[in-house]
Amino acid sequence: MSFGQVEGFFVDACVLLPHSSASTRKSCIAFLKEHVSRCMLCSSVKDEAFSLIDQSYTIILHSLSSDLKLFLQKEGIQELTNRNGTILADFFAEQKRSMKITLPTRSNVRNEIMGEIEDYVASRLHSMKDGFKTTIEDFIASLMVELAITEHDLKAPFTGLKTVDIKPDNSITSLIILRALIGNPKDVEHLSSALIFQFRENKWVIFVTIDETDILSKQKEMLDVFALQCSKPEWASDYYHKMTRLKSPVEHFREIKNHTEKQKEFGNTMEKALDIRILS
Amino acid sequence: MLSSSSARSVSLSKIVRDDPSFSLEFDNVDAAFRDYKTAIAETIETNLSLLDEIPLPKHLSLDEVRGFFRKDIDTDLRKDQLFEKAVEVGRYAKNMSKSMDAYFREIFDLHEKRKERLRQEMFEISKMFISSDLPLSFLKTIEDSILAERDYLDIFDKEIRKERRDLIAYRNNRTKFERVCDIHNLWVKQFNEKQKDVEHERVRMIWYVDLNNSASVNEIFKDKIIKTSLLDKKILLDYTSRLQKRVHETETQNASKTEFRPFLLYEASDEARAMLEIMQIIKP
Repeated sequence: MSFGQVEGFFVDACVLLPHSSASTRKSCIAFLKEHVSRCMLCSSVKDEAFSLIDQSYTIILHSLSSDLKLFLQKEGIQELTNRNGTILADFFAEQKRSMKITLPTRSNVRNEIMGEIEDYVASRLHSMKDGFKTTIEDFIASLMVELAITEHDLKAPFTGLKTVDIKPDNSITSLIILRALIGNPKDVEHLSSALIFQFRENKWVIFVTIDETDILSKQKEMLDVFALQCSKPEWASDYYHKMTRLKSPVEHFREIKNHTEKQKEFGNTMEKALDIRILS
Repeated sequence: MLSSSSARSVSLSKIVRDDPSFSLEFDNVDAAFRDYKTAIAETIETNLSLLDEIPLPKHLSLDEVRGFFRKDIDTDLRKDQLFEKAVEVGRYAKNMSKSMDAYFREIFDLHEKRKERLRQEMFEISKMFISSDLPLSFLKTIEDSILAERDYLDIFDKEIRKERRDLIAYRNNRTKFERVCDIHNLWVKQFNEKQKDVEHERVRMIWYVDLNNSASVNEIFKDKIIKTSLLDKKILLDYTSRLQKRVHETETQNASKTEFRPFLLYEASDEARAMLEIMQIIKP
């Protein structure tokens, strides 16, 4: 019988990215400061985050280096000052009318993205000093440099953590979708990876996230059926201490009296996927 | 000539300058002295060797291009205060027991200026990109290589600050002092080799694109429209893959000495805010 087998925290991407909410930022920073040595990333979390960062960078870059530049050239604009806001406003108005972004999701996505780029460009134009003139090439190039540095810096927290390479198992992901009713396929992959790690290594992990909508709202189901503890950063260390008093995950699951049908289903799936025995 | 107004600034990654850090030695009484002129001559030769590896367009003769590079690089280096400072700091590093104070007075400032130069290089390459139909991978790979070098400079500064304590403590103990130098030189050598590879690959790629878009020697490194139709796509792809591979190796090596860095502040940059908002929108 073994106690105290806690490997650490599987961190969701949202914990490692900046937040607009001061309280969320505070709790994430406090958690990372105290527990960084016990934090891990599963490869699916890192891949998803990097892919989103790359996509957002590319979308903005394309809009600036191609669309904006062509528009300004067509309008015969050579230089920009902080008083040229109306020219840029015309560009975004035209973009919103005509630009076709091939993002097969919500119909409003195109406008939302354009709105964010518009806010960004307006802010940068208005931050130029009075009387300062710059060529359109220099203006766009300086924005591109800042974007590249930001893209790199956004990825930095992910590269500083240990990454565990886990291939999510289809049978486990299907079960999470069915029994915990978590709909976001990427979140299901991350939770599946955490479960595989926990039962393969037979050490508890705590999945730390601030995602209330998709994950924390299903926290009870994830624990009851799958024996995976999910937590907000604020409570993660409390769960950690609680786990140290539990038997190891396999023993804990095996010793549950009168497994529910959902637990049995999960146990059977896990046994097949990992070739271990977790039901009595 | 590069001094003309239409020439690209000295900041474009057009010269291999090699290592930004130096091996430490107790003193260099018997060591060969690398003075400023020697450093320039060596840098020119390194660059000319790299030039020999680049496939040139038929209308440019190798001799003519070599002559241009020799003169142009020499002119650039002589105007380059950062290069001069690097040679000076290299001289202090070769004589650490006597020049430690001077070394530490200059090294961090040198690295700050080097980082500013790297930012300028990114700016120049962005300008080149927006006047071209080059693929995004060209820009992205070069940017990543520059940012990996910036990270290395941060790592170096952090490590040398720790080593400084030991160097001061063992200043009067040659054996222990040399041991600290040896430990420093061991890790720095490994990192420098990777940095050098990255820089060579990056400059090779930029040269290939620029030279093959120059109608004559007079157009080399000048502002111009870059067309991929003038390039062999297979070669460009090969150079890009080679640089990507080197960048990946460097990033992996950097990660081995990188401490966890928390995220940026949301309010700290317009760029971070815009990218995060777009990430939220496109997230499935």
